[in-house]
Amino acid sequence: MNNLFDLIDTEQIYQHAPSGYLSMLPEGTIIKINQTLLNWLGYKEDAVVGKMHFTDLLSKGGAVHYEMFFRPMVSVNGNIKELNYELLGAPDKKFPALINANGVMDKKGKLLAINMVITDITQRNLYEKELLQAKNKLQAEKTRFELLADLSETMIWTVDLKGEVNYFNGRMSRYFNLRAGDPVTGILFRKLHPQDKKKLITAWHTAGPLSGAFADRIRFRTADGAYEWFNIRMIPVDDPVTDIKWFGTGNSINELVIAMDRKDEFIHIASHELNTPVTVLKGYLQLLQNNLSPETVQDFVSKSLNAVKNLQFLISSLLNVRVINSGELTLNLTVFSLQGLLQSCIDQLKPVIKTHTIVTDFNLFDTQVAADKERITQVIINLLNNAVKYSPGQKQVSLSASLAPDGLHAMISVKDNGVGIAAPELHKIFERYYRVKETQLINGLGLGLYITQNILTAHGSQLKVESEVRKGSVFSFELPVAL
Amino acid sequence: MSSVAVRNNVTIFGKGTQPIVFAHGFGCDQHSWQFITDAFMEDYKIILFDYVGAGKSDLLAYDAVKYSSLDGYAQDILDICAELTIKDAIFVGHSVSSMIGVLAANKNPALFKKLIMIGPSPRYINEEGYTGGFEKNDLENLFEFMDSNYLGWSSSLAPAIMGNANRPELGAFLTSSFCSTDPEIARRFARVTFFSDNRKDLKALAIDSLTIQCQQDIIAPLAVGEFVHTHTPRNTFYLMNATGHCPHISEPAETIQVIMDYLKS
Repeated sequence: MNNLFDLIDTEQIYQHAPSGYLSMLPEGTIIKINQTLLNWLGYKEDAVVGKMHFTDLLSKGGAVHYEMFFRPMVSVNGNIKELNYELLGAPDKKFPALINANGVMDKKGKLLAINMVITDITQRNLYEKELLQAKNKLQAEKTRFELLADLSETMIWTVDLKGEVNYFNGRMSRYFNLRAGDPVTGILFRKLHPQDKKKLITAWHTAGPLSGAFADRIRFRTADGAYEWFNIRMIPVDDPVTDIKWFGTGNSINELVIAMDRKDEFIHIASHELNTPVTVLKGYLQLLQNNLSPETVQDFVSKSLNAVKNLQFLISSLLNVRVINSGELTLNLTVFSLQGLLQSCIDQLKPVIKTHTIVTDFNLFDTQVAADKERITQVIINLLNNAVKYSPGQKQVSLSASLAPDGLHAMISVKDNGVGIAAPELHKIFERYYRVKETQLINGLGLGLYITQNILTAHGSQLKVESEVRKGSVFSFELPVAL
Repeated sequence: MSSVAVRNNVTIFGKGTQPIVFAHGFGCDQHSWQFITDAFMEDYKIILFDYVGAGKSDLLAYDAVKYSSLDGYAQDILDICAELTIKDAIFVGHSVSSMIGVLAANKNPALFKKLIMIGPSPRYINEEGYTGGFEKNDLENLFEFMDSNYLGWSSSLAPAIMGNANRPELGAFLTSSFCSTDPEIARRFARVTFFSDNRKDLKALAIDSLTIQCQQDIIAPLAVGEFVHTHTPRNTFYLMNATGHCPHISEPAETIQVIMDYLKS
C-alpha cells in the first residue's frame, strides 16, 4: 500500500503536475523548473537551471514582447495573466503556452523572483487562430459589403425594432448629410413632404411580415429646400441577431417624374394644337355646304387648305420626334448655294408673315455648303417663325449669313428683338416638350428647337443661343463649306 | 473646447518650476513613470501625458495618416509644449520616445535644454554596416505575436473599457496598468516604431543629451546605444547595471540616480 503522504507529496506534485512550473530571477535566469516542463521542452534540469535565461525559450519576437510587456507588467502589477507565448525547447520541441506569473517581492516591493505556471494550449491555440481568422474574414466581408453598398447609387438603410435607422449607406449619408449616430428616422421624417407623411405612416403600419414589402413614391426636401421624388421600398425582415426589422432602398425618380409630367402636359398642348386647325377646317366645310358663290368657295377652300397645312406641320413635327428618338434621322447631303437656300426660305415665308419684315445681311460670296437641303430649310424656317412668334409688337427680324474667316465654315444667325429667355431656362430650351414658362400663352408644341438642334447635330453642327430678357435672342449655327 | 491637454491626457504636478517632460514608450502610457516621478516632486514641474492612441488619450483623435510616422507623435509633444507654453524643459523619453524627442527638439530647439534617452534606437533593423538587432523576420514574428495575444490583450483591456466611475477598485487597477493601449492602434504604433529610421536626425540635435543603455537589452542592444552616442553631438553615454529594456520599471532607483547625476553635471 502506498503511504497517503506519498500521494500528496508536494515535491512530487510540483515535479509531475499537469502544468509546467518555472521560477526565475527578475533579469531572467531560470532558477527552478519542474519535470513536466523539462519533458515538454526536451531538456535536462542541469542544462537549464542557472544556465538558461527565460528568453532563451522564446523566439525573438516573443523575447521582445517579454521585455516590453511581460517583465514590466510583473514589476508593476506583481503578476501577469494569460499571456500567450510559443516556447521553444530542444529541436522539434515547441508548443504554444499560456503563462500566468506572480512576482516574489521583498517588503519594499522590489521584485526578487518570478514564479510562473505554464499550460500547454496547443488545442486552444488552434481554436484562437480560427477565431482570429474568422474575425478577420468577417471584417473583410463587412468592408466589402459596405464598399458595395457605398458605391451604389441606390440609397440603402435598415431599421431596427424601435423604428430607428441603424444603418445607411454612403449615397444616403451624402444626400441627407447624415453622420453615424444621428437620429436618422427623425431627420428623414422632418424632410418628408407633408402630403406624404400620412401616406407613409399608414403604409408602414399596415405593412409587416404578413402583408410583405411596401413601395411608394414620396418626396423629400433637399438641401436647397426643393422637394424631390423618390421611389422607396421597405422589405420586412426578421433577424434577431442583427436587430434589423426593415430593409429599405430608395431611388431618386425626380427626373422621371418631371419627364412624365412634361409628357402629360405635352399631350394636353398637342391635343389643343391639333384641335385648332381641325375646328377651323370643320367650320369652313360646314359653311361650304351652304355657300356656293365661286369667290367664297375659293376663299374658304384656300383657308381650309391653310388649316390642313398647319395640321400637316404639327403631325410632321410629331413624326420628326419619332424619327429622332429612334435614331433614324438620316441626311440626304448635297452641295448647294447657301444664299440661294436662304432666299428661297424668305420667299416661302413672305406671304405668310404679315407682321414682320425679314432683314437680311449676307456676306457669302456664293458659298456652297454640303448639307441636307430640305432639313436646313426646315431649320431656317423654324428659326424665323420662332423669331416672329416670340417678338410680338416688333416690326422686323433679321437673318444674317457670312463666310467665317477660316473660309471653311458659313455662319448663319437669326435675331429678334423680342421677349428673350432668362438665363436659367437657356440650357433647357433644346429639350423635348420644354416650353419657357413666361411664353406658355404663345402656341407651340415645344418641339421646334428640339428638332432643329437634332438636325444640326446630325450635320456635326450645333445650335447656339444668346439671349436677354426683353431685349431679344440670337440663334446661330455653322455649316461646313463644300470645297 | 478640445484642448491638447485633454486629447493627450496631460498630468502636471510637482513643487518645482523647472519643467521635466516624461514621454512613455511603445505599448505603455504615463503610468510607466510611476516609480520615477516621486524623486522629482520637490524640484521639478513634472509633465506626463499619453500619446494619442495610448492610455486615456482621446482615441477619436487618432488619425492613421498623421500617426503613420514618428513625426505625428513628435507633433503631439510640440502641441503639448505649445499649449503649456513650455520651453527650456528637460525631456526624458523611453524607448521610441527617445527618437520622438529628438524629432521634436530638431523642429523646435528652444523646447528642451536637455534630452535624456532611455534605451534609444534610431533604427531597429539590421543593414549592411549597421547592427540594429532585428531582421525583418524577427519583426514579423513580433507582430504575429501581438496578434496571437489578442485575446489576452482584450482581457487586460476590459476594465479600461468598462469604465470605473462607480468602481474605485478599478481606478487602482488602471493606475497600475500601463498597457491599456487600443490593440489595433498598438499594432500600428509597433509598425511605425520598428520600421522607423532616424539615424540622420541624430546629428542635427543641437542640445545636450544622455544615452542610458541597459545590459542585455534585446530591443536596443549595446551596439545601438553606442551608435547613438557616437553619432549624436554633445551626447553623454551611461551603461546601467539594470538589464532589459525598461529600467525605469525594473530598476527605478538606479534609473533615478543616473538621471539626477546627469542633470546636476
